[in-house]
Amino acid sequence: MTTKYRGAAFVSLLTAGALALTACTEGDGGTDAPEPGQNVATDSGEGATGGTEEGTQPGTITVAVDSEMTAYNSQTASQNATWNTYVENGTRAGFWSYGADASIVREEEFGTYEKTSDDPLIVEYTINDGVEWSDGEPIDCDDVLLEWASTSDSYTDAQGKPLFSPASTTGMEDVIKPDCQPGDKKFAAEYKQPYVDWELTFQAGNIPAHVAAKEAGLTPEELVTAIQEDDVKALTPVAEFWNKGWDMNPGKLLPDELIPSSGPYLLDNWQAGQSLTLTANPDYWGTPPKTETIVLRLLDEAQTLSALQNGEVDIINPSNPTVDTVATLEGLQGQVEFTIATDLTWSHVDMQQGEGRVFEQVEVRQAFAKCIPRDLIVENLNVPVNPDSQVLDLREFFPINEEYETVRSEAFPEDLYGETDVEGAAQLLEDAGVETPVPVRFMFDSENPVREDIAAFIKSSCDEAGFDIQPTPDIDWGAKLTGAPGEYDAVLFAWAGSGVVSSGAALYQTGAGQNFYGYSNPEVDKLWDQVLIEVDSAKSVQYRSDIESLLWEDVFNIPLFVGNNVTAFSSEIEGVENNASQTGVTFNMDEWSRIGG
Amino acid sequence: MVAFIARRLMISAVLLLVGTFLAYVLIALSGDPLQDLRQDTGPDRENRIAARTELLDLDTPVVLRYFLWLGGAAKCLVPFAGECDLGQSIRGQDVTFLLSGAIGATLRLILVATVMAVFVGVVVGIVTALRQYSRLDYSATLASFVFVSLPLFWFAVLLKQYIAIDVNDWLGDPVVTVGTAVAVGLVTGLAWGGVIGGSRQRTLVSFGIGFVGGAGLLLLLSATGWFDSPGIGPIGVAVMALASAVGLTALLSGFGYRNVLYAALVMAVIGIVANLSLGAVLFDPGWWTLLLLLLLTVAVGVGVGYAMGGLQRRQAVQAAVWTGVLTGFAVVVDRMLSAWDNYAEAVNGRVVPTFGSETPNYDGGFWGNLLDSTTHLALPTLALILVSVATYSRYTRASMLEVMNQDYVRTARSKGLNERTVIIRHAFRNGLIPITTLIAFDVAGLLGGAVVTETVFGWQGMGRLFTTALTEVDPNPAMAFFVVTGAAAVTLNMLADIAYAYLDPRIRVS
Repeated sequence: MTTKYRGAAFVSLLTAGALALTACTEGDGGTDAPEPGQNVATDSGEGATGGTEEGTQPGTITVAVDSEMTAYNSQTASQNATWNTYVENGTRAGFWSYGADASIVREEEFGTYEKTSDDPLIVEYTINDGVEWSDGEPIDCDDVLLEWASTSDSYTDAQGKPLFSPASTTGMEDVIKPDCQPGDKKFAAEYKQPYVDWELTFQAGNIPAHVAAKEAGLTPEELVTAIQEDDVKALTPVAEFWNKGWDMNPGKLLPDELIPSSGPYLLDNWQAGQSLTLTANPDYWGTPPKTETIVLRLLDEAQTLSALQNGEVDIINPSNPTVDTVATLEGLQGQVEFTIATDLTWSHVDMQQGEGRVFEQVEVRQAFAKCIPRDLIVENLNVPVNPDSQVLDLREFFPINEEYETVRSEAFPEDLYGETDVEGAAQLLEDAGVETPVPVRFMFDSENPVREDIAAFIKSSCDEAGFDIQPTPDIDWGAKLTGAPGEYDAVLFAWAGSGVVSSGAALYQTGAGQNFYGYSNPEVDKLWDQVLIEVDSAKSVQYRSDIESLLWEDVFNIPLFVGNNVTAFSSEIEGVENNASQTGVTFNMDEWSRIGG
Repeated sequence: MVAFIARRLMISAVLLLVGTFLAYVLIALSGDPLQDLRQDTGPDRENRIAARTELLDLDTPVVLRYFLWLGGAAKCLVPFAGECDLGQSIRGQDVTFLLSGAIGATLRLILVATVMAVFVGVVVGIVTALRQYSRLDYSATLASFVFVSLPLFWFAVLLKQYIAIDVNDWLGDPVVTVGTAVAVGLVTGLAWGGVIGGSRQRTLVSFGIGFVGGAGLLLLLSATGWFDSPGIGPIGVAVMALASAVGLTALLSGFGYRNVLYAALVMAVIGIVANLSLGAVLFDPGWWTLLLLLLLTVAVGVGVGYAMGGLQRRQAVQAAVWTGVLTGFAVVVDRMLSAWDNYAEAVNGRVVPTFGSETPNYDGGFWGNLLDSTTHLALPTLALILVSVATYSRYTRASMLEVMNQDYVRTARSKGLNERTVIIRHAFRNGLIPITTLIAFDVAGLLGGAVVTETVFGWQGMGRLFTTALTEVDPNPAMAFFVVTGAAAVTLNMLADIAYAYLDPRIRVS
């Protein structure tokens, strides 16, 4: 009995406790508390929030990405990567940007520039009044000077190592230090020698100099002085911050004051491994973005289709689309729209043509070019994905460029290589007097099934012409390309084109960085030298057209086709464009909007 | 025992060390970490190659690099020094940081899945063992073999299509057709008929009840528009509480001596009252509040059972506590579903997601967020459960059958104990001993092995960390994965051995 009583007392005590707990919470919250779940953020549902100008519609558009951002500063050699560019497309603005076809688009809202002299090359820049960082700091002289200091390879530390470690110094290293005072919105860039891609040199709105200065314990004015006086000691902490200070671990956005935006969107919220949210910059000086919130969701590419179908993402951009991708997308018509276009990755066959190599004689290379069934390859591997696919006949111009057709008619020997010609190839081999079958160790990436197919097509056709194609798939093909040129005779891979004219020189000039094949043609060398310093675009095209002719004459390599790029999006979204360049589908995120608001 | 643990630990450490060396060398030599840059023609190519070479120390021979890595990793063994250095990933991020995020994601993913898989597996195993060679047994066997042999990536695609996309489409206009109802009714009817078993007549009656119950409930719910905004409601909670009380009593003690039933029923009533009166506490609680309430429930349950149990005090305490916990669970589900409308609006009616662990920027309070996590966990958990239920149910079934034929079970029967007591008290516990070992292995495996699930459902867990590292030829994250999963496997195996010895006195560790 006693035990029972004690137990009951215990229970009543606990019950009383629970009731007391209830009572005091009730007192705090009130009895007419809203339904659970009602305390959701309703910003997105209630029209534009304070500060956002007309034109920005409330709502969210979600785009699938396959990698997370890693840094705010993507100008460094270690962080210059597409996943950072994807975000910067919305958070930075500058004098120019890449258009959907990788052409250069001038951003007149940001500022203007004008070439005032060809030789010496002088470009005069003006940043518009009112153009500022999202923290209110104007974009001006200090940003320009830091951009020059960080990417021109002008400063070295005591050990002789570069102070800043930028991804690229090309172009900027030829610019004489701009002369401007703190607060100046105008400056002139004078080049030590003319430079073909001069338009790409200055962005101005990419890196906030005032933040870097503050982190290094300087005022923006002191930073300007330090650069003007080449004060390496003062610049060292700036460089340290510039190199590493803007790197971020997943989900760890730096404090707002370190990561201001110069573009239409602000970095808002980052959930590691899940999503990155950008919201419209309320103080944006340019045309306001069309949609308030853009969410970049991290998702493996193979899974994007079902996510799009389920409405969890609105825009997807799966790389290397296959026939299956396209078929699935066609099956979703009405719910999903998609566009296919070619991009700038171009597959090609390169040949080792140095002394003593199989492809030393030009006739052998010509024969190879004749027997490779380029039309058959494109018809079987590309047309099913994109009916507009065509054989690529040039190297420095792509079907997406407006000059392509003109240059092609000038430079491409249609009569020789327009169609597969096995007999012609056999004839050439006979003329060359080489012993047939000619053994060709044909290297390609062992993990890429498409290249395996291409190799099979080439083997079946060229073996008939008198070659003996020995496919050598290799996982280390990239390292062997430079590291073991003796281990292959021909190699199949793709270059990822960048839209930068000058980068072609490294592929074709004698002994240049990416000419691994012993190719040397003094005329090509000379023409490239001219291209590099040619600031007139028409002349530049003409030079490169001449180069293409020479490359076909020598059959330096054999271009096959350009890759395809698919962008698919919900039918409720408009403004999405396919983008051929490496900047990705987010390049015009400020144009995206939901139909009907 | 101490000697055993010490010896095991030492052997494991050596094993792990040799393992790390092999793994490091193999991963570092498995490909070319500069591959993607080599195909780039941009002006930034050379500097980027140089930067990555420096970051990953590619100019140092692999073996030497291993020892450098080991030097950094060894610092992790010093507790609280905060000097743990597992190196940097190919993208320049701290591996220690990546690792902590990955472990968190994986734990969230596998915790619920493992608990549920063990529960369902054990129940199915026991039921099929008790109904050996029945149609139910054969169907369960067939189902487990089908699920265990399904390739997960393919199964995941099916789940996404049918459980996510189609269900979401259906939720747009949720009407159950008669055909669907009949089909579901048939399945539930067959299941009930099989589980209850017995004479032909009894089976038929169970089938009938199952059929009408399943099909009727579905049609009723559809007609009342329940699927537009599902919930349980206070009445539903009350029904579930009382049902748990009766069910648990039936399972634990039977209705011969009523005190257990009364204790359970009192507990159910307390739960029902608490549900009605705790509205404000449960409006937007936190995990700590819920944990506190759980402890309170257990305490009240112990009190009620102790006070009312009489002769069967132990059973009464068990019944009361479990009734309280189940009622509490019903309350949690009820509250969670109250956020349904709000959540459905936030995701445009696409309630079941196909990937990720949360809806970006959604804040629905505690219950809304819980619902969000639950829906995101639904598909991967389902996939993981269906695959591992097979193992658990097969092991439990075999182990139960073995135990049921033991002499002590026969002794128990011959003493005149009823079947429930024989199974629950004498057979069930001993039958579970081998399962402990299995769970330990399984958790260790899942920690590192949910690679496909994580990839397919967009979770950045351990498996994803490893596969990404492997494709990018990035040794440091891969090594972090290796060390953690290796250590987990070693530790859990040792724990399994110790637990085994503890549970089964016939076994000695030495």
